[in-house]
Amino acid sequence: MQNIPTFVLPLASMMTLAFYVLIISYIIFTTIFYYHWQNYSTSSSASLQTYAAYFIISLPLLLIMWLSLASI
Amino acid sequence: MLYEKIALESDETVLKTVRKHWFIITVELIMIIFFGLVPIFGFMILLQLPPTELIISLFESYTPAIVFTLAAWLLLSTMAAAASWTRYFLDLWIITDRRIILIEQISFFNRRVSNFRLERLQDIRVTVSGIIPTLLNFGTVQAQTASASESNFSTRNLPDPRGLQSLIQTAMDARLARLGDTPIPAA
Repeated sequence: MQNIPTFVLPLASMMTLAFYVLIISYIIFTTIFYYHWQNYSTSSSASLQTYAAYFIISLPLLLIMWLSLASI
Repeated sequence: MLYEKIALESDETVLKTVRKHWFIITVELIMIIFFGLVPIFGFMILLQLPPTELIISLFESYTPAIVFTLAAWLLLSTMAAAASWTRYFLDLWIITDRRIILIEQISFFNRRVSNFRLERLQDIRVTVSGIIPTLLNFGTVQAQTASASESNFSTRNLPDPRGLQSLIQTAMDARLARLGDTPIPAA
């Protein structure tokens, strides 16, 4: 029987890859999100509050991800 | 902003802007928050269990990976909540003294804007069906126009549908009265 070659992807590499994929997705999503609120919102104060809530929640999460990646 | 893009007529007045009932977005956001917090609850339950060798080694060796995964999951949940809120807030009815502007934000890349002139409206129907809609006063508003049946429109989960029906009816009557007073220009 022929042996199937196996390879092990280190955890740190997997996490780094996942981090970059998430960062790219986040940037694309945020651009689309910003475009919609900037163009289609009826209230600029509602847009500002939405941006504030979105970034106040998402940026610390990205920071946590980056810090946990750095600590491996 | 939206009003600049809609280009209201010179003396057109916005009577009301209506979004779906708050209950709809609240339920959606609670569901997203619940799914966002499920893995955290999972780990909290795991920590309450009597420590086995597997659990100890898991937390000793993979703490950064666990934190990373939880943060990534919460980030995805935040993005889902933001998408849901955008869909709710940008989906609206603008009722002016001349027309109803119906903006349907189905998804980020699916947006439909329709205009219905008040003088062409024929019938407005309201349906409130179910326990929660009856208690919280929200329901479906359907309007029939004088045009082809495809131009009829309806939106679900609008707050105070009877109030909305009466507002549109009043605006429609006022519009028809005004048009009746205005002499038709000669061709």
